Amino acid sequence: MGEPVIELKGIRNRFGASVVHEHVDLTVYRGEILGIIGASGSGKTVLLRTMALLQRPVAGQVRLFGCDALHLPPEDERRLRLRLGFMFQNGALFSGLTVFENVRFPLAEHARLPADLCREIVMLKIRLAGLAAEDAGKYPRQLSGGMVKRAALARTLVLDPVVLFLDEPTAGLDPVTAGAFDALVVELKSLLDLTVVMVTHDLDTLWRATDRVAFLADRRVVALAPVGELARRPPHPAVAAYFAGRRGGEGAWKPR
Amino acid sequence: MVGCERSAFPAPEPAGWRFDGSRLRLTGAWTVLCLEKGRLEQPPPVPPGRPLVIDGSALTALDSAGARAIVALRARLQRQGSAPVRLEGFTPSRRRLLALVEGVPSVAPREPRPQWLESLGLAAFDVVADGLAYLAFVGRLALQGLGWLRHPRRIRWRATLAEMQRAGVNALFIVGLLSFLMGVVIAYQGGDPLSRYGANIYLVDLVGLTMLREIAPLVTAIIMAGRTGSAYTAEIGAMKITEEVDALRSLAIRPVEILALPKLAAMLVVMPLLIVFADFTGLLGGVLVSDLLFGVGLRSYLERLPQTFLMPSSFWVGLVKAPVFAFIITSIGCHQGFRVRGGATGVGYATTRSVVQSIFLVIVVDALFSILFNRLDL
Ligand SMILES: Nc1ncnc2c1ncn2[C@@H]1O[C@H](COP(=O)(O)OP(=O)(O)OP(=O)(O)O)[C@@H](O)[C@H]1O
Ligand SMILES: [Mg+2]
Repeated sequence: MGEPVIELKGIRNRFGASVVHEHVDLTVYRGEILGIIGASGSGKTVLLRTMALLQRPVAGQVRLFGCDALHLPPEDERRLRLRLGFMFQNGALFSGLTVFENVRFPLAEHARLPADLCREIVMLKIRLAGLAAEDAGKYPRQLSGGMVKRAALARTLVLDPVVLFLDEPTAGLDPVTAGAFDALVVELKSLLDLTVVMVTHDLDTLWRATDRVAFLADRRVVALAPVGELARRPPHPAVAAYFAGRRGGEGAWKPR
Repeated sequence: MVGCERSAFPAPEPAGWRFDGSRLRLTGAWTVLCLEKGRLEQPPPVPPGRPLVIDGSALTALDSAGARAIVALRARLQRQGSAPVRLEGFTPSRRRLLALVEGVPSVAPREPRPQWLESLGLAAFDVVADGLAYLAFVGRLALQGLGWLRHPRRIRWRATLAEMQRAGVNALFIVGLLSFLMGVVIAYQGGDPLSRYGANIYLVDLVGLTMLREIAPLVTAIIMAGRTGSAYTAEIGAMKITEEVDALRSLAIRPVEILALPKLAAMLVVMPLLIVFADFTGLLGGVLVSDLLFGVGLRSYLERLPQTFLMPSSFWVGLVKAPVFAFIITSIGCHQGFRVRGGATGVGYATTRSVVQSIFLVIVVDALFSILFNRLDL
C-alpha cells in the first residue's frame, strides 16, 4: 500500500441532536479504490463530505496528504481543494449552464489554457464520461438521470483531481453502462494514479472496482476489508445481513 | 507534521520545453493548472522535412489535460514540418494515457445562435404567449376559487391563515412606516403654498383626499408586489424546477389549488386591512406635520374629514381598489412562478418579471379607476 492520502481520526458528526458518526477512524491509501457501504441513512454521504472538506466535523481530525486539512491557510486550502474532485449524489450541475459550459466552468476559473485546447479538453472529458458530442449543448433539465451522472463525472474529472469522491456514481444507470463506468474508473485510476473513494449500493461495482470496502453501521466503521473477505466472513451481523439480503434477493424494504 | 507549517502545496514548475534542433525535451509539470497559454501557443520553429522527437523523460508530472496538449502539439509540429514526429521517453502508463486521450474524438459542437430577426420574433411571440397563458391561469384560478366557494369544506384554512400571517401581519410595520412618511411629505409640500393664501385649513382636504384615495392603496400595493408577489414567484418557481409541482400533480393534488388559492384568499382579506392601516398611519403623518408647522390640529381634521369625505367617501373609493390589486399581485406572482423554466436563473428572471408586471398593472388599473370614478362623479 502507498502512503496515506486521507486520514480520519476520531470523527464525530452531529446534526442537532442526532449523532451520525462517533469516533470514526479511517485511512485511505494512495492509489486504492475504497468503497463505502452501509444502510440508507447510515451516514455514507456525510462521511464522504467530511473527507472532501464539505462538512466540518464536530470533533476529530481530517488529514489530507499528511496535513491537518481543517486548519489550513486559505491559499493552501484552495490548492488542496483543486486536488479533490467530488461527484454529488444528484449531480449538482449548474442549471443555467449547458453540459459543455458546466464542464468548462472549473477550467475557465482555474486554468490558463489556450482556448482551443480548453475546448478539446472539455470535449475529451465529456466523451470519456460516455456522453455523445451532441449532448454537450444540452441543459441539465434536458438530460436523463444517467446522462446527468455522466455530465457530473465529466465536470469532476476536468481538473484532473488526485482524489476522486464519488457518491453513488452508478445508481440509476443500466447494467451495461454501470459496467463501463466501473471500467473507466479503474482505468483512470491506474493511468492517472488516482485515489478513489466511492459510496455505492451496487454490488457489481463493489466486486469489480474496489480494493477495500468500509462498512458503516452504528455510527462507526464496523468493518474494513476487501469485499470478498467481507462477503465470506462477515465480521458484524449488519454486514452479514447486507450481503445475505442482496444475494437472497429479498425485498430491500423493511419497516424500521 | 513539520513541513505543513509553511507551504504545504507548493506550485510545481510550469509546463515548458527545451529544443535542440532535433529533440524537443518537455520539462516541468504538464498538468491542467501548469499549462500556460503564452508558452503553448508558440511552438518552436521546426526545420521542415527533418524527423523530430518529443522527449518526455524529463516530465515531472502528466495528467490527461497535459497528455491532450502533447497530442495537439505533436499534430501541430507534424503539420508544420511535414515530417513524422515520434514520442520517446514516456513510461508505459503515460503512453496508455496518451493513447486514451488521442483515441477519443473531441469535436466541439457548434453553438447555434439565433439571428437578430429570429430573436425579435421569439421575444414578440413570448410576450403574446405570456399574455395568453396569464389569461388561462386567471381562468383556472377563478374556476377553482368557485369550487372553494361551492364547497367551503375544501377551503384550506390552515394554509390560508399562514399566508395571511406572512403577507399581512409581517408587512404591517413597513406599510405603516412608508404610508406615515408619505403623509408627512404631502402635508409638508402642500402646506407651504396653501399657507401663502391663508388656506391652511384645506390641508385636511389635501391630505385626506390624496391619502385615502390614492397614496395609501398605491403604496400598499407596491409594497405587496415587491414583498409578497416576488416571494410567491420565487417559492413556486423553486418548486417548479425541483419537480415538486409535478410531484403534487402525481399525487392527484392540483398545484393551483394548494399553492395559489390560499395565497389569493389571504391577499383578498389582508389587502383591504392593510390599506385601512395605511390610511390611518398616513393621516397620522399628515396631522402631525399640519399641527406642528401649519397650525391645523387634530380637531380640525376630526371636524372636516367626515363631512368632506364620507359622502361620497374617498375612504371607500380607496378601499374598492383593494381586492383588484390583491388579485393582480397574487395572480401575476403565482403565474410567473408556474411559468419558471430552466434553473436557478429562471427563478430570478421570473421574479423580476413578476414584480415589474404587477407594479405596472397596478398603476395602469389605478389610472383606469381614476377615470371611472371621475365619470361616476364619486
Ligand atoms: N444537512 C443535514 N441536516 C440534518 N441531518 C442530516 C443532514 N444531512 C444528513 N443528515 C442525516 O444524517 C444521516 C446520514 O445521512 P447520509 O446522507 O449520510 O446517508 P447515506 O448513508 O448517504 O444514505 P443514502 O444511502 O440514502 O444516500 C441521516 O440520518 C440524515 O437524516
Ligand atoms: Mg447518500
